[in-house]
Amino acid sequence: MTPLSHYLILGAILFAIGIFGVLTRRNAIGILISIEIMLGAVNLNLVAFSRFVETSSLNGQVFAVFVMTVAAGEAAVGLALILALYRSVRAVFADRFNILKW
Amino acid sequence: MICPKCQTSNPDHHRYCFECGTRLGERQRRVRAKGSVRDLMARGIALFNEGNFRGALEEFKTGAMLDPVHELSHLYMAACNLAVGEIGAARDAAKRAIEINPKLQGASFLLGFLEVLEEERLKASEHLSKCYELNPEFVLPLQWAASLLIEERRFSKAKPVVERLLDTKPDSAPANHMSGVLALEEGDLSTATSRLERAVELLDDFTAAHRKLAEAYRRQGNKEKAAKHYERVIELDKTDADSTFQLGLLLSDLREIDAAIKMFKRVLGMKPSLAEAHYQIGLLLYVEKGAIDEAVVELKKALKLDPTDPSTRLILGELLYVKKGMKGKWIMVFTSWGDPRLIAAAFLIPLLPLLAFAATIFFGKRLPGKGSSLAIGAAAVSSCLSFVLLFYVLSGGRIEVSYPWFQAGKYVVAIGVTVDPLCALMLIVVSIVGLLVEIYSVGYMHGDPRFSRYFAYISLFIFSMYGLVLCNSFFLLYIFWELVGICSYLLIGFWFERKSAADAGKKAFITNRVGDFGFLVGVLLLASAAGTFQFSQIFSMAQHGQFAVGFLTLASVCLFAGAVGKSAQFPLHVWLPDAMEGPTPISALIHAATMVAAGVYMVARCFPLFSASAQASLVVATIGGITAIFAATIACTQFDIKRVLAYSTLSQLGYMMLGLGCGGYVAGMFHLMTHAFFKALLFLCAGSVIHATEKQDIREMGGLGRHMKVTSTTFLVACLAIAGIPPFSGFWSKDEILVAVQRSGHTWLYLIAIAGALLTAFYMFRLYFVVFLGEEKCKSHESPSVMAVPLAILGVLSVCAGWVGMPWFRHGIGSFLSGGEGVEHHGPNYAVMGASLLVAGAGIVISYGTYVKGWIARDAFSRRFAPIYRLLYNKYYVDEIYQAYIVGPLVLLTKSLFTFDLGVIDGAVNGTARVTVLWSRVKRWFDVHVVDGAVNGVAFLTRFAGSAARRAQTGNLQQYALMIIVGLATILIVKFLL
Repeated sequence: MTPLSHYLILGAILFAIGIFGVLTRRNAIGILISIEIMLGAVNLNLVAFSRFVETSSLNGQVFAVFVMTVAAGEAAVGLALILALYRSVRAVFADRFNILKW
Repeated sequence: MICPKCQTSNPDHHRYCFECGTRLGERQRRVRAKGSVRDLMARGIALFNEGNFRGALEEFKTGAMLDPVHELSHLYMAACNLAVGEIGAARDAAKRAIEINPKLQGASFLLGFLEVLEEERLKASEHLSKCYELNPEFVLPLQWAASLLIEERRFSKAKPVVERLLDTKPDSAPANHMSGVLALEEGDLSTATSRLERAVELLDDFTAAHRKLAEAYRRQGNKEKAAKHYERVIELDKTDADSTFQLGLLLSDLREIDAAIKMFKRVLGMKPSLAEAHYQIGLLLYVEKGAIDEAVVELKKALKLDPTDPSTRLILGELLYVKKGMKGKWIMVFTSWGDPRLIAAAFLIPLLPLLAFAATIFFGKRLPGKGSSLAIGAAAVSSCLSFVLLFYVLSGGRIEVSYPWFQAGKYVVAIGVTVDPLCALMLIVVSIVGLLVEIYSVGYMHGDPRFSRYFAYISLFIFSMYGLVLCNSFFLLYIFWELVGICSYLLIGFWFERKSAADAGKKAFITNRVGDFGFLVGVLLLASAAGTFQFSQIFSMAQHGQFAVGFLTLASVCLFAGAVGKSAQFPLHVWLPDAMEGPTPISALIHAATMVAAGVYMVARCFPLFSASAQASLVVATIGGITAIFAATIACTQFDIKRVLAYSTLSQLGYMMLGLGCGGYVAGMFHLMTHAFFKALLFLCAGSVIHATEKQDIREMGGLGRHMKVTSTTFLVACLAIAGIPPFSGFWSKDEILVAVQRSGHTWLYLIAIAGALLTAFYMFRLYFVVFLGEEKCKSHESPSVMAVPLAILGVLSVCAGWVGMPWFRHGIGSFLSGGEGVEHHGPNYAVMGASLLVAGAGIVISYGTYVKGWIARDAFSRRFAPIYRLLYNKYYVDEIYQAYIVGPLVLLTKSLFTFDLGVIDGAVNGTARVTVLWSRVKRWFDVHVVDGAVNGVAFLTRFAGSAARRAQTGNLQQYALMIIVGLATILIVKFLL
């Protein structure tokens, strides 16, 4: 079997990619997608640990299902927010939402 | 003729003896005529020695009949008569004995003795001295003679006798005593004390000598010794009330109060009704011991015994008012006596003109007659009341009332009036002259724009004058004195649009004030020494000798300084001639009759003070004399009619002061009265002339007598009066003054007075002749009757007013003013009368000769004695001297002080202000830059920090996320790798 570290490193790389994407993407939907990637990475971490740690309960996998649910809900809310923002500003670029500045 | 049977002597014409009835025949008559005188004498002496005086008397009578020139029988007859008790017969007999043989020493002595019995002390002393002369060894008669003469108070006669006595017997106590008594009478106190000391040394129990010695020491002022001797007198003679009283007074002076009170109580034991003693005890108890209730009791007793003593009343009043606080009692013991209605009248007299003043000054223009009728009405009513008071005083009444006003420290000041002859006389003068002047003014001031104000001022003046005359304390006197000065200023400067009038008013007031300073000093001196301002207290203290003579001199001279200012005497006379700038009726009222007489009145009122100090009287008389002659000389050269009259007033005031200073109280006041009348008349005539001719220089006038009959006649009457021609009033009063001056013994003053009289006659008649006689130089008309009638009235008074003081009357003005007692009545002094008449006549003749007939050229004097004339014409340059040496320096001083005030003092004040402003600017800089700067700095920092800090908030979402990540990474790195 592939060692745990491979999965963890994959998860880290995915998380880093997601963070990078959150920080650099202009499009708000791109930011959302990056957040989904981060969440995926988290799920991978959880499931990997659940597979490799021998316990009676499958906490990790259950937790991953919860995360997926929350991710779905969050994506819905996020898209709703972006829709509302689009209605006022007519753009989806993150740098356009800068009214709360000094 | 002796009866043969019973030996009685019968008169010659008897046929039968009156005792036994036997027939007296011729033979008997002739027979008994024989018999030797010597036998008779022997028999008589035998009977005398036995004691059978009557028988002896018979023998001697026969002897005397037989030989009428046998002096011894007369002498023995006298002795027998004396023994029997027939003093008169004894005296005749002794007189006959002396007639026969003047050298009969025994007769002289006997006669002397008899005369004493008959109370003929003078004759007795003569006989006794003769007895001594006959027999110089027998000193007793001489001593007796001396003591008799002293008893009869013939001190000049006693002096040689006593001297002789002292020569013969220098160690005789009675001789020394009598010599001391004589010295005391003469006033030579040192001799008196030495002689009396010797007498007392020789005979210690000599009560009379001790008494006299004590009196001498007391008069010398040596109180301890006097007290010692009085004590000895009392030791020797316990019933001598007088000495005990004197001792009490001395002890109280020496501050031994308890002993003094004991003495007074002893006096009361001897003389229970002596009010003085009660008074003194009360005084001591109150003043020294502060025992008020006992003092009140004593004073009440004194008052009951002698209700007329004002000082008792005063002190009792003061006690009750001050100490017991009986403030509610208005009419109380402070008052004295007098009919209450007349007391009300006395207060009403000054009040009516005061009310007239108040009404006229506010409502003058709306009143009927523009205030004149109100003023005249008030003056008329006051005049009537003055006459009522005069009659009251003439009939012996007196008023003395005081109401307590306020208390300041230990002084109780009261408002009071006193009406006595002096005051009544002045009231009449003020009333008459005031009323006549007011009536005259109605005509003179007709049409003047400030007519009502004029009458208001006159009423105020009359009020002040009445008040001055009626008041009875120095406090009120000073108040009215100043009021009169103010009225004079107001009235002199009445036409103040003219600068000369305004200046004259100021000059009058300021000169008065200079004198008033001295007056105030005098009043305060007296009040502080006496503890009260009331006249009655101060004068009674002065009369009892409770002030030292030096102090009285000082106080009197200070008071006189006020009179010098007010009555325009020599150094302070400068205001009176300039005061002629005022309306002429004012000159008549104020500067002739009343205000200037206020000074004279004050000196007369304070006469007890002046007469107690010889130096003060001399000062008064000298200044009066100097003023009299000084002003008279100037008056001869002046050309303004009013100026001449002004200098004449100065001169006459000098005469009044001269009279008062020489002790002639009556003379001074009498002259004041007559002078008021004729001087007022002169001024009113002058006013009449000025009113008619609109000129005042006599060189431009002449011959006015033709048209102005009333004026010229009354002017002539007044001139005659002032020159001193009988029977006009001035003669009598001036004569009284001259008599007083002559009696005082200052011959140089008398000469000055006579010279002044000559000059007075000269210049007054000069005025008359130049103005009213001669050729007419300008038009004139007689004055309206409202002006002429007062002239006529005053003319009549100028003639008659002097008749009350003619020296032949005992009850004229002299006895009236001195209250019917005291002042000696001198008979007419023909020498003085003649001298004054001669001098006045000479003056008139010289004047007539110069101005009417032209025997002497009018400018003869001014040409020949040009420097003197210039001096006189320029009034001795007194005004110029004052201007140069007093006024000038004062003005310079004022200016320099003003500069100092402006530069230094104001500069200092302004400088302080400037420094304050500068300092405030400094502080403002500090406040703005430092304090505010700090506050602002804080705000700036905050803003700066904020503006720096807020840049962190970019609104960029991704940047926020980056920050989070960076922070997380930092924590992880720090935590897990470091």
